[in-house]
Amino acid sequence: MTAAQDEAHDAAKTASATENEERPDLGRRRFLRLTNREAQPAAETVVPESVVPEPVDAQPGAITNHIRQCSRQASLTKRSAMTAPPFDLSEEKLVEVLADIAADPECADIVSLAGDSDHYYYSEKHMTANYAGILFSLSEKNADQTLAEAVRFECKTYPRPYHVAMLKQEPYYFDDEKISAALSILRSSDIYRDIKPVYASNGELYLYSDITMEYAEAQGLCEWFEVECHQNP
Amino acid sequence: MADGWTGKILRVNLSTGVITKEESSKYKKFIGGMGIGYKIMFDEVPPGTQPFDEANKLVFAVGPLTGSGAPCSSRVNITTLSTFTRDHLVVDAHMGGFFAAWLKYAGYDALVIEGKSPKPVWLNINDDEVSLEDAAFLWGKGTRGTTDELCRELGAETCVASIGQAGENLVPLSGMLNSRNHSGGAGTGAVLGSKKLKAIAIRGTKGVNVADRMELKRLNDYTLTQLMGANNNHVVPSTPQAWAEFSDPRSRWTARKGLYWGAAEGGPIETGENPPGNQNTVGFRTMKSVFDLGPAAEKHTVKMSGCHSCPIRCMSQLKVPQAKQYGTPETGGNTCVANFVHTTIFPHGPKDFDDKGDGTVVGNLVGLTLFDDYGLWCNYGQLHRDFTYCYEHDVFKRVLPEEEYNSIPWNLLEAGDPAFIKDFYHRLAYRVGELSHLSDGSYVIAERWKLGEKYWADPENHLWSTRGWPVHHANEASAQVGSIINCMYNRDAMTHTHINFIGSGLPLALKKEVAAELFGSADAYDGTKDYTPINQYKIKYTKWAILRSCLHDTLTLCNWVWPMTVSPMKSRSYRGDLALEAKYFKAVTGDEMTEEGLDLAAERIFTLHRAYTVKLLNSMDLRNDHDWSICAWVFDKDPDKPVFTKGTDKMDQADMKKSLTMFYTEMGWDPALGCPTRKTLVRLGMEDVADDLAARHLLPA
Repeated sequence: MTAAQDEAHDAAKTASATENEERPDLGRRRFLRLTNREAQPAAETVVPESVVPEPVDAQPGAITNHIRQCSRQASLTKRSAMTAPPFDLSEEKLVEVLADIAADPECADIVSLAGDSDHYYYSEKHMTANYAGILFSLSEKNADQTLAEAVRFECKTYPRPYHVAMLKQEPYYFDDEKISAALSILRSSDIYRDIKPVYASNGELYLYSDITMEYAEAQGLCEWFEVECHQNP
Repeated sequence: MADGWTGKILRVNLSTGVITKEESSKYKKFIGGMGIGYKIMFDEVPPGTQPFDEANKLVFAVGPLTGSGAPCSSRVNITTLSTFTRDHLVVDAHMGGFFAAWLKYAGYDALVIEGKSPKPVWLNINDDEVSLEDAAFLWGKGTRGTTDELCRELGAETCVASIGQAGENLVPLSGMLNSRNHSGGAGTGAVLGSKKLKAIAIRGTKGVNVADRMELKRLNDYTLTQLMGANNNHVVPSTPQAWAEFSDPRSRWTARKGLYWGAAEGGPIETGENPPGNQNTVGFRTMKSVFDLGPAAEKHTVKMSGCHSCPIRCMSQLKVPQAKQYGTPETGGNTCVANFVHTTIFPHGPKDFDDKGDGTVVGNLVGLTLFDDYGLWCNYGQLHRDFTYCYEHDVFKRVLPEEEYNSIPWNLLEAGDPAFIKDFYHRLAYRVGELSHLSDGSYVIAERWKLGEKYWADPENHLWSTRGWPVHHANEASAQVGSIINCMYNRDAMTHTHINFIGSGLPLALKKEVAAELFGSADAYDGTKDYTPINQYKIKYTKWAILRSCLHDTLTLCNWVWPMTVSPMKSRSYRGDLALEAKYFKAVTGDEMTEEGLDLAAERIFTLHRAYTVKLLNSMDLRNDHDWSICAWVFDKDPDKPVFTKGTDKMDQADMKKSLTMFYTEMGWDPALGCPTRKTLVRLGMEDVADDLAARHLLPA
């Protein structure tokens, strides 16, 4: 190789190296999605019905795999989805398959939830009962019922008052209008008379259920979360 | 060189220029870090020494786990005399970054700085070669400029810890920075400045000998897949997620679908969902930029960064173009209080720029860049709270000369303009005018400016002790547990063992179960603001919390992640593993060790801290002369709510006095005075300490 060829080779190598340095190392990002958020919004909700594009063998194994895959992707599987493409099970066959699943010890992770409009399935290997309960509520119930359940759950479980702004986050994704409408129903309906508002000194709204939490506790805690906590992080 | 330890201590006398190396094995029962620091200070720095005296020392000490590959192990404990609290008692700074690991790799378990140099110098450590160099060309520079200069000369792989102008000018609230943005505070910057030591540069190539490397690897896999959650070992995500049984909006496990490192090179990177079990995604869990600065920080986040050997990555790396208009770089970052405290001084909040809420991001990046470059330290936000107090109560109007008062751009403060921060920090770092005494610390300004009782009693001001330190996970963190902890040290308590457990995100019932297993009864654990009177189980919880943090500052491990009290795994019933430190200790050093063995060592170290406090104060009565300096608001807050009722974290004086008595008893200290007894010192293998105190008539009968 001549000196000129050496220089050309070095220049090409340098250019290539510079280009590589500027380009993300895809190998190091194999767990990630490289995406421009403007062009392609992330956090898409995966619709269970579209997970399997082709007709499949509607054996219990295929159904349970489908349920588990949906659970991994944070979705419940509707019973009605199994009688639609790609499974296209007849009602008779579906009853048979679901009975097989229920009887199979290897499918003990499959849990069903009975709603008024549908039945729902999830794998407790990939989804917790608490989360499934939220999704179930989002599918089967009104926003006000869903909110009331969340408030009662938080007050009983942790216990803490419920920060209403959390409804804007996953898995709810409520907008301001929907939150406002739900709050309005909560204020006016007798079945929600245990649900009470409480405000931190910065004006943030929390809700608590007086079945399991006193006002003083709710007020003290929301002040801690919103104001005091930031001063002693 | 033994496994784990390097076997050597480096001692640098700045008065004589003599550099010596000595065996570290004589300190083995104190393990390392904080233990070595206290022992050297107890033996070598006598009572009556002032922080800027030639006789004061700084002990930078690491431990057997530092740099070994154990997670979160690049912590160095820096022990010296306080510059900013009453009586200048012994304090520690705790510095992350790379300094600790590099010190170890250069071959040292500790670095002792003593004496005073007649002229500015910097210390060059290149493995065995150590020299003092002329720092005339560095004096007057900030920490970043100093780091740049030394790295340009020595190579980018060099780790530099440097003081800024604040340390040079003996500003009591000052610290040092290593690796550009990892800070160590507690006034250590001014102590280094008094010794004219501008910087310490380390290149280390030796590594750490590990007794059982396979076991170390196995432990790392186990820790990262089964035990470790996010920053502060929060073990549930901040939003409901399919894999998670529980969630907590206050959790530092902030990763979720749709939350991005928005300014990442090559395009935004989604933090996403990171269920436990996959150690390769632990580093995405904590997005501290958004946690500290709000949602506006998302699009400015380049990535999350952190210390050597830490998988958690709690340090924000931001890119904020608007910062350039204030003459500061557009990139930078830090974590926790240093990340967000700067704009808290604005009475109406920071002004926004392009997006709602981005004033917090811009103002704090400008603030932290200047603050860290000057090498200032905020005393856990107290500097800024003191500013606010003095502004709101017209103290500045009263105590500042008229000309000085009129020279301060108060209009920029009112407008929430970062230009005010720039002016303010310059005055502090260069000690310009009366205002600069704010950075002398709360005790000094209270005296100097005659702030009176109401200053200490103001609940908004968050001062814990009239000795001059603020709350740090005190009465609001497990009632008497946090309260006792905040009484024990000579600065704000750097104990996170209890707050990590409290903030883990698990339901109260589960935490009570864990508490029952650890401390003998579920009554050890009170829900936040739902307190009960003191009991023996809470005392055991207190002792455990303190000793674990001492242990971590000794081994060294990061107490902002450790211990693994709980786990994110439902399959483990969320139980952690508190024998993990001992398992790592054995794997790295080869020495047989149990959890109880390490607890005993930590008890020795904490008792030595207490003994040294007795010696420095020249008083056995630590109850009255030290601990009972709790500010009145702790007992007076929430006047409409009786103590021990729901919704308040106020404390009861009689209950606190009883709590201290029970704690002293649990520690084997004199129950009335709160000082160590000979019996306890002998039990902990410190007869020499007992003899020293006895000779000074500082041992109870």
